[in-house]
Amino acid sequence: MSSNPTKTVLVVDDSPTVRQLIEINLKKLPGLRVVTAVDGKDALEKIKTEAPSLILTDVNMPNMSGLELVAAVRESDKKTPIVVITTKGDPGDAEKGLAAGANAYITKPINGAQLIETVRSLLGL
Amino acid sequence: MGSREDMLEGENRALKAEVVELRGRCTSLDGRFAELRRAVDEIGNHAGALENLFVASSRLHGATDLPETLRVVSDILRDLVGARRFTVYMHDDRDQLVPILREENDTNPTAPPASTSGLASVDLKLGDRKVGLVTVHELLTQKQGLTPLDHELLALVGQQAAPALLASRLLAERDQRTAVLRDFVKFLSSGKGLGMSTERER
Repeated sequence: MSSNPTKTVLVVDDSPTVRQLIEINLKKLPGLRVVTAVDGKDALEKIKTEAPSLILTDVNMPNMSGLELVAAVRESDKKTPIVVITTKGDPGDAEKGLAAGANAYITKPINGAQLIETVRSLLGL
Repeated sequence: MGSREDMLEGENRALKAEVVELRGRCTSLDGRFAELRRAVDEIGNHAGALENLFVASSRLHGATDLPETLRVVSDILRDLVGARRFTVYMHDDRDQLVPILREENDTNPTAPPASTSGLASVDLKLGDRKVGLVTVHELLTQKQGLTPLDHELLALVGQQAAPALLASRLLAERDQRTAVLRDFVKFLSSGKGLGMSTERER
């Protein structure tokens, strides 16, 4: 029996480059499994099957934006931590994300150490 | 009694000297710890830089067609370097620089128009031959400036994007020619082509 049960993190971004970079960073944390989705709609499907412990989502994506995803998740799930990844330095997207129910935000370009610290803190690792 | 007091005073002096020595060692250890902390941070930054370069390189090598290659270049410049406005140019047949990818800043009306000069430019090279240019005009507002990693990423784009762009362009041209040839063969095998040549022969 493992003393450190696996937790699943769902990474939502339409850029395969960003998904790959986040995945590489998160795999440094033991007991963490990474699942990816290409947009908000894809993420909602993955949430049903994967029941992630944490969601990391980009804001600007086709089909369904990150902010719409946060709002949709929060309709039925108030607990799962959500981190919004914003491109813009101005607080607009970050504030909108937090207002929609996200727990934290990080900005691009992604800083691996900051990403790991945010995830670790929200998952209590 | 006197000797006991002397002994205790002696012990007190020795203990005070020990405290001073231990304080000195603590200060020295604090300095060493700070040094190690800096080294760990440096290694962490270096590892982060290598991860960025690995992702950028593997994405460029994995791109198979022109739109995908341009998308990868765009992702690297926007998401890894943090460029807000940038242009990718290729030399045409007359050796003129032609923009093939342009990311414009649509939120800042005062931004200067894109040109081949900018915050940073890197040649797209095939060996020693310049085949294009990447120019970064503006960074995301949260970026203070280009870091050494950003310059390494731009250099990597300069070295590896050109072969990827040219290979995907050649593949696209080959596909177009193949399609034309296929149509031509189809036309001939339908009998219309043969019919035309028969008319001419007559």
